[in-house]
Amino acid sequence: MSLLVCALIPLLAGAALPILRIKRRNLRMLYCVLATLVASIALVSVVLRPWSGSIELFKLSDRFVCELRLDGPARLFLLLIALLWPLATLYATEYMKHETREGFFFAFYLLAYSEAILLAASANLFSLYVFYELLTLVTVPLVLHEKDTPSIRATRIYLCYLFGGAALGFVAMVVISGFAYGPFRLGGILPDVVENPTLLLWMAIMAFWGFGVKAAVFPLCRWLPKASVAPTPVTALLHAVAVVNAGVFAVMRVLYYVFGTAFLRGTFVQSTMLAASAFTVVYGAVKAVRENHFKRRLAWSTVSNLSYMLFGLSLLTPEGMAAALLHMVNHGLIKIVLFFCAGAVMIQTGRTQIRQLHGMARPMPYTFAAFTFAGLALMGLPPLPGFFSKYCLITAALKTAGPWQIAGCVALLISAVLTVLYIFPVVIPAYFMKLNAAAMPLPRETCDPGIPIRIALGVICAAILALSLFSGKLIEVLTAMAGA
Amino acid sequence: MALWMNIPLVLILMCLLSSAICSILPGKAARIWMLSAISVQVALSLTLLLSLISYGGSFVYKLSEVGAPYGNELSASVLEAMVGLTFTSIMLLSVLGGWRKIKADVHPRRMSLYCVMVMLLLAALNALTYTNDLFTGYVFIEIATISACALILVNNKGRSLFAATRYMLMNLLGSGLFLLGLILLYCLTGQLLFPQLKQAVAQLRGENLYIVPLYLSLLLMALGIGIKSALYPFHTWLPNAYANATPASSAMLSSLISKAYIVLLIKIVFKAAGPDAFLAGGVDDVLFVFSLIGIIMGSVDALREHNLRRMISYSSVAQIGYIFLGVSLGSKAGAAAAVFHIMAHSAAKAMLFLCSDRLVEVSGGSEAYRDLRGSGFRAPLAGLAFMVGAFSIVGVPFLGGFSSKLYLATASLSLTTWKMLTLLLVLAASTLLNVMYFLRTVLTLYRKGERFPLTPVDKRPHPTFAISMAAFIALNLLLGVAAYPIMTLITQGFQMIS
Amino acid sequence: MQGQFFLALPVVLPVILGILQYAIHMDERRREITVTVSLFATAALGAAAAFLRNSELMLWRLTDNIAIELFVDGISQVYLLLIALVWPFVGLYSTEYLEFESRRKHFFLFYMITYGVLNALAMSRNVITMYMFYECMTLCTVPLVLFNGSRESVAAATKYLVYSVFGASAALLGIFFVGVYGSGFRFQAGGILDAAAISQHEPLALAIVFVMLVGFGVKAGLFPMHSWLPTAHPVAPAPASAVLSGVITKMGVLGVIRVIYDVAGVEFLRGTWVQYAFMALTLITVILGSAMALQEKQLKKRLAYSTVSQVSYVLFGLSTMTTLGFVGAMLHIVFHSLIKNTLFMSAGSIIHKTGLTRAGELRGIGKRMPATMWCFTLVSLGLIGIPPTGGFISKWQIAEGALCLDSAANWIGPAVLLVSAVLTAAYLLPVALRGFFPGEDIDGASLTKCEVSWRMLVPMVLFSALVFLAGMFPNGLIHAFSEIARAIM
Repeated sequence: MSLLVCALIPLLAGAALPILRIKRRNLRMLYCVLATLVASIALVSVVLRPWSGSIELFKLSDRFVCELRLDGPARLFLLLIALLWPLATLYATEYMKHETREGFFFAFYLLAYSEAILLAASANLFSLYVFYELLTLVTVPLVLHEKDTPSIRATRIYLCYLFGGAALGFVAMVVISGFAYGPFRLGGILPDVVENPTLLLWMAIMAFWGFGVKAAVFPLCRWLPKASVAPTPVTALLHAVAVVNAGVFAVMRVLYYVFGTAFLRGTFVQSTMLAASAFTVVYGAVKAVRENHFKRRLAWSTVSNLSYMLFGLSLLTPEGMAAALLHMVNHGLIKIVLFFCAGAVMIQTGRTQIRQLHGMARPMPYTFAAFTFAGLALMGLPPLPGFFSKYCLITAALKTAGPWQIAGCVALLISAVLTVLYIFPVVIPAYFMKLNAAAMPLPRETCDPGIPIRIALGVICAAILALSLFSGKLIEVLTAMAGA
Repeated sequence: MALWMNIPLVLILMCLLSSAICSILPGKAARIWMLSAISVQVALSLTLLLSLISYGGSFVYKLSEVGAPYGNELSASVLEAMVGLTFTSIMLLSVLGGWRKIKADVHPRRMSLYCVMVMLLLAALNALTYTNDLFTGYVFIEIATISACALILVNNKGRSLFAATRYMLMNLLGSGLFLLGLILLYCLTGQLLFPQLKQAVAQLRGENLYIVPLYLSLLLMALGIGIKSALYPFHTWLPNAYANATPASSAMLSSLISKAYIVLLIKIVFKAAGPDAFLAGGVDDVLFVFSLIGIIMGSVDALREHNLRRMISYSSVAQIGYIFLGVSLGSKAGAAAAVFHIMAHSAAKAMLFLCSDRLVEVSGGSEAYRDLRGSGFRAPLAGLAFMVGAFSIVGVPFLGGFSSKLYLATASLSLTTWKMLTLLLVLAASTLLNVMYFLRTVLTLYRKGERFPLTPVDKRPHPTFAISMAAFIALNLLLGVAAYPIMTLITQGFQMIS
Repeated sequence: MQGQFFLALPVVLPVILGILQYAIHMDERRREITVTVSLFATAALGAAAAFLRNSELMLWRLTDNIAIELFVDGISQVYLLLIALVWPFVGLYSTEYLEFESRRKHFFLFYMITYGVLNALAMSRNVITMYMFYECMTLCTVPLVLFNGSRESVAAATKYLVYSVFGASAALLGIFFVGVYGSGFRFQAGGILDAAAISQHEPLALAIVFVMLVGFGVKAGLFPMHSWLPTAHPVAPAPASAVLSGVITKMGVLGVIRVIYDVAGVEFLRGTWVQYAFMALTLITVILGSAMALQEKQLKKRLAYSTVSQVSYVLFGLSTMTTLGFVGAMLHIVFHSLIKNTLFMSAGSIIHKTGLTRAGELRGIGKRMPATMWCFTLVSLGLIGIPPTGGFISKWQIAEGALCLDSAANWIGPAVLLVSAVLTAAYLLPVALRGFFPGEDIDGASLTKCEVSWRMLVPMVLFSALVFLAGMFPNGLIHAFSEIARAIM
């Protein structure tokens, strides 16, 4: 029950926000931060307690029951968002000063938190689907926030892609329910003998792409860079961590907890998934290199990195799953820092293009230090966490050593090079080239953002550092969780 | 016989009586009479449903002691009571929601007439729901058609005469086909009452006699009803008719009348002809194909539309496709899904018509998308209601449309693989299309930039409208979350009637 | 952290000192002194560490087999000492070379951080540690290339970065492979590949070793990934070019040494296609580098191509996988490092005093900067390989190593080396000759003297002298390197 309370806190707090109409801005911000903080603390305390019960929310038929449970991956995902959501809210309190109608924004930001909690704790495919769709819906107003033509266009694309994917997922979910239904179980819920395996395999393909839309797998990846028109707290938290990882998470549930790896291993489904994710890894990175808009570049980078995780999952081994989960955590922390920095530059100086960042490290030393640090981590400099997840992914792939697995390793390495190519052309000119103050005058001598943003950046950077020191322990836990 | 078993007859008689009373009352009084009559109907339907649940079975109510093959009978089970309750309560909410607009749209001198027609319509709806014989069914089909036509006409708007004429013509064609089918069936079996018909049909099939005319009669009836409820491609009358009526009428037309015909069809299939005959005759395949095409094409048409109410109308075409799809599966699960979709769609569509009118009103009376920008802020409640309705039709979890889509999809699992996949993929495609046109509209409602300065309107909605919208939203949520007990009842109902 | 804590000092100290000199406000004179003193102090520490043979230090353990750890073995010793010799002197040179640059504290910062990283790289105990410091080295040297901040220097630095990272990633693939098919990550003479595990995947293992070699070869300027050198050198300030050519490329060589001898193991590679393919690449690079140098007009670029060619001598020596070849390669690492540093420093001195960058413009420069040009000429002889210079010894050993092979390479290799030596003479000697003998049409009297000061001269003179001294008394070095070769083969 306490899990439900955790989900209800942000839900009610968010719903109450427009009704309360708190006049003073500081008070309103305090309310939002406190609400997320309370929810997070409650969540952490629930997650860390052993509890193996289940909560049934509602049911549509015997097959389709909306139910919540907690297991290893769910706890991991919940911990991740419990850490990041309050920080992102803190960031948003400063960021949204520059935007209009922030009450509306924070309401949906809180709602999204509760949906993410529910999604992570879903106990079966049906509940997963339900909250998957709701998360999409709740985030639509956040993408739409500006309400100008680009954001409307982006929202339209967002909706079409995500709902299109959900529609595919729907078909897969219904057909699978014809074979088996029930709570997720590691190793799959299918009966030992299946009547029509070909149909099921095709459903696996459908589910992969259907739920993979959120994880921006090729060719369904265009929405993610488009969605970066949203305010940065949204791009940073939702479109680099919560929503997109929900996609990865859903794919993991489908592959490992519904079908089971034994059923899929070695089939055309596996090779298709491997090929698609390996291709996306490179494709996203190439697009990132060619992109000149700061946030969109980071978004393409997210596309690439999400497919790292999908690749790990497509290996269909416990090691692959553990590596994917590790990368999920690592990438989440890293990417949120990168986006926070991009957003800080945007609000402080109005610079959005990569070209405009020349020499910006001098007026914004903290921001760019954090950016460089996270960039190095993303690139995979040992012992920072990006290296370790890449290590785990590739060793997991090499263990099976099929042709597609090896191709995937090569894709991962190519993308590592491309990562340098899209991160360092930001960092190097920022430090070493002359500031172009004539064309775009800076408001002040030093334009580093204020205390809330700096706290958020600092805490997450510290978390990255801690993660790099203890990723060895973490991977052990994850591998045990994946059932190796 | 318990007292409550009289309720079906009371419902019908009360409507007929009320219409007579309305015709002599002055406009305002008639309107109030109408509203209270419908409220009482809702209460009665609810009583019937609850009594039936505790009774745990169905009953037949003979109107005369003539006996088969003549005679008129009513029958009621949980299924009928459920549908009846839906119809009456949607009717009530529609009238309530369009209350203010009825005053504005309908000329005071015709107000009584309007009320008469509404009551007649309700009588027809009840009769179609509870009837246990084909002839009563046919009679009330005609009554429904006439009253619906009058409802379209009563709004003195430019194209409503044209629309009503077209409506009349198409519906008469449909009635004609239905009548042909009915006569054919009567000639073959000599029966009109459902239970006897079923025996006769089974006998004919058992002896392998007159098989082709038998199936033809079924097909004719199905097609007749298809035309009347705007199954694609017989839908051309629909957009004009729905878009030009007063909102309350649109709501009733779209969510009640066409659905009542389908309820009759379902009863014919399961009580009169038997699903086996329906399947063996290939009627199911015909409906299957038509409904799939309808689902896609209705959405495509809606996508092309730039007028709010016409868009909603076209969306109805697609939704009717869903319902026929459920019927065409020929299984109880499919039909149950169809009935559930009737409920879910009525709840959503009626609400959409009502709140779209409010949105149009705050946007200077224009129904074009580009003029509706920002109307969601000008009329918050209507915007919210539109959003809920749109989400429900798109099939967002926690709302009615999602549940019905899920039931429909589950029902399809018993089909052959290819048929099932086709159905599911069409469902998926239609979901995507729904998203594209409905959420585009929702985005428009919440988009900045009015094209011209608007005269400020009262931001607060009329209390009747507010009550109706709140009830509609609650109804949609209820159908989404508490769908399981409702569906259980419907399934029980199907067990009872066949 | 456990083990010899002392090993961390030469890594950490320069980083801290570098940051301090950057962070603390001080006048330029004092900064020069600080930097010089810190560099020499670090050099002393590095040299001291080199003599702590077989000591080790565990910095951080990530998992059971992934750890950041340092140790000192024979190869580390050579590298530590070489860096301790070269780095502070080039640093001394740079204090004058960058005299008028306002942002030179940036240069010193990264120069000193790089020093720490190089020490760590030399002492890396396992592939993960090496990869980590290898990447750090790339990242810390990029700012050195970028020092100008001009558009072309950004382009050049980006190119350098991309090439290096590409190489490192290729090496990374191999590292991951080792993680799966090896017995741990620690370097071990004779290789760490698990013979039982790779018996199923031998073609894959060979391919991956080749990819690793090519990957580390990028830093060493191995064809076809050599073109970052001629791009990066001309835009970088002379001390940066000097160490890039003289030291950083050698770190690529270090990677190759570790892969061949400590990861894959000579036994595994000898006689396979990997050996011959790698050898072919090195020979192509040797010739190609010299040929490109010959037709290049700009002096620093010519020297860069020369580096491409000469470092591949080293790689060729390693690819023979013989004791002699290895010894020759190690000798050539030392000599080429000294020589190329001197060459770049002299080119830098010329630029510093006269601003001339093209080889054709240097007629009569020997009259204006006699000491500089003498150093230039002497080490040129060394690079060509004329006895009694060190270059001769090393090339001789390499050729001898090649002759031990029992395939066509045993005559192709030496022949190629010979041709390249001729080409080397052809691209270096005319510069020296025209410098001293400008010809009739140049009026000797009009050439004013403009020699550089002692701070720039000392390193050049010292390195040239060392090239000669070591060439005349090479036995100590040869003996030491043979010891190492015996240990790892």
